[in-house]
Amino acid sequence: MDLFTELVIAQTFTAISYAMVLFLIASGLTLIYGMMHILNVAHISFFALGAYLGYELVERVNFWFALLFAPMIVALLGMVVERYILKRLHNLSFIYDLILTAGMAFFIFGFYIWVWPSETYAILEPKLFTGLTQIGEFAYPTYRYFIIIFGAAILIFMRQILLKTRIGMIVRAAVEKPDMVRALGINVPLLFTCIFGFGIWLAALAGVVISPITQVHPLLETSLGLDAFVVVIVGGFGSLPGSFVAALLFGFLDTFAVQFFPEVAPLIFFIAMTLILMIKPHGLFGKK
Amino acid sequence: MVEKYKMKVLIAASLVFFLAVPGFTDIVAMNWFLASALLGLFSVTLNFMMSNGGLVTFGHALYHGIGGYATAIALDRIADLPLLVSVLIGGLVSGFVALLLCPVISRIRGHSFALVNLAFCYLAWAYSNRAKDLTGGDDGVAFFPMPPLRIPGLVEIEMDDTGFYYFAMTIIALSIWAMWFFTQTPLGSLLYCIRENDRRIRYLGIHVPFSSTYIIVISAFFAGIAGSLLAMLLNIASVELISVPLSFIAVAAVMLGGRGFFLGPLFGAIIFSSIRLHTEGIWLGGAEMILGALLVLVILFSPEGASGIIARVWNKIFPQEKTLVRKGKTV
Repeated sequence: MDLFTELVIAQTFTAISYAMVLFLIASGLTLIYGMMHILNVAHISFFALGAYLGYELVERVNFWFALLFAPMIVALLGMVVERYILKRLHNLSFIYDLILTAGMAFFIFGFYIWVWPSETYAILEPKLFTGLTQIGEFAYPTYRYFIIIFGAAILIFMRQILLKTRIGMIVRAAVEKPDMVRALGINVPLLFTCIFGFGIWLAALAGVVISPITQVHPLLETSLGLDAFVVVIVGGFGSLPGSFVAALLFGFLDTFAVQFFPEVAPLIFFIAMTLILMIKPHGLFGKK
Repeated sequence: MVEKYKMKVLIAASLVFFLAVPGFTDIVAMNWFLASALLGLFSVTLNFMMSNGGLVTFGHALYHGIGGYATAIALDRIADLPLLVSVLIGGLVSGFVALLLCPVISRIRGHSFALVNLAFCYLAWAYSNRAKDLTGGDDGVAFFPMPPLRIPGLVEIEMDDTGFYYFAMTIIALSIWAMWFFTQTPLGSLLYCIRENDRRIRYLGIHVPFSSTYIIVISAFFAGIAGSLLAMLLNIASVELISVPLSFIAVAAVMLGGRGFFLGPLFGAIIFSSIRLHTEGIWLGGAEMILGALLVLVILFSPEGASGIIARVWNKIFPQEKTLVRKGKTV
């Protein structure tokens, strides 16, 4: 295998693992938007909060404990927020949910730079996944494989729940016609709270999973989180397949641009977004 | 008639206050006040889009920063540039950039408008962090000369601290007046209508994206002027002027001050500046936490913001008058 092929294969894996993380964040946003028509600007703050809390738990216990409990704590927090703050917003115009969640994003941002004031916090990969894995001649960081497999597992799990179970059916019905579902005797507000919590859980999970690669720092939120927003816009609001395709597309674009055109790498992302939005203002899979 | 008289007294009182500020404060406080006023102007341009155009954006700092950079670079590279021209360059360049972006952004509405603008703002921030030859990267464009205000045969004022204070305040007042005037024109009323019901306006045969282009470009022009004045005040154009958090701060200032009243964002800007002044260096992240909590509280309990509360108190004191606030139409 020559160097170039090796590079391309390595970049492909990197792109897929990045796309998985992007999709974990974007799918939560998309689910919440699809059900409640709230664009949760604070989503990326919950993602960053997950990363910080993950750091804390990794330091105190270990990685697996952090992976299990940090997203859960953040998700509970998200459910409380939904129950006591967002619920009051029903039937107000879209300006209010944007700005209310922006206020929450501010608060969470202030909170974590207050509690964790250092510039960067380094997290080590779990012992099981340090170093490289050799497959034939091709060596690649084991932790990236873990991200890909883990992300794919979550993805399949989510798909199975949404398409194959009764709860998934109710969720899909509540997206289409919440009033009808309520009339059939299902507790829709509770369902919304749970879905919100689930979306936040996905975001915080992404935060913990990505932190050994990116490390934890205050710019995590703007850099990675914004990419997730772009994925949601380009995929079309509220469309899960759309965000998946967009996440893959932007994962590849980003990784290969950084490798082959490092000068214009940050621009390519946005140029692609601009072009797609010029052709389809509502995103790839968006409804008018 | 009484209402008009009262407004005149109010305007005169605030005019006296603004004129007197350099007299009773030191330079630090004066510059703080001017910086808050500039944040206020920036928030008013955002509110101009939010309330009149129904367009919420999370990336307005883009235009602010481009204005600041344009002025700083122009002053840095061109010798003997007149003061007014350099301010105008800031406004025009950012207006022009807005015009370039309009084929994309004027066709989007609602949630994605806010986010696409945010993305562009972040792009500009990332670019100005890297482009060392143009923007100086991290260091910014600094130590550019400040020309005096010179109108041949009329005035020549040296731009020391007090001189610049009066100059900037005049520009701020003129800009706000110009935006307010625009909302009173037929085109301004058309934009109100688009906000209320864009589908209907489309049926009436009016091209909606084309009309929102006006509001975006005008707003960007004045945001650019705010940015260029801020760059002049600090004598540096850095990535702070174009950062994403600044866009959020402007949105927060608009909501805290109140969207319904044209000058509401000015109150919000003053509130935010005071919070930052009192937490800076003492409580890291404190400004963001207080601001975020205030924002949530305001939206949940008093969506008209500070100016709404002021108007309510005003009506208690002087009952049976028209309110300062245009009654709560949601956008």
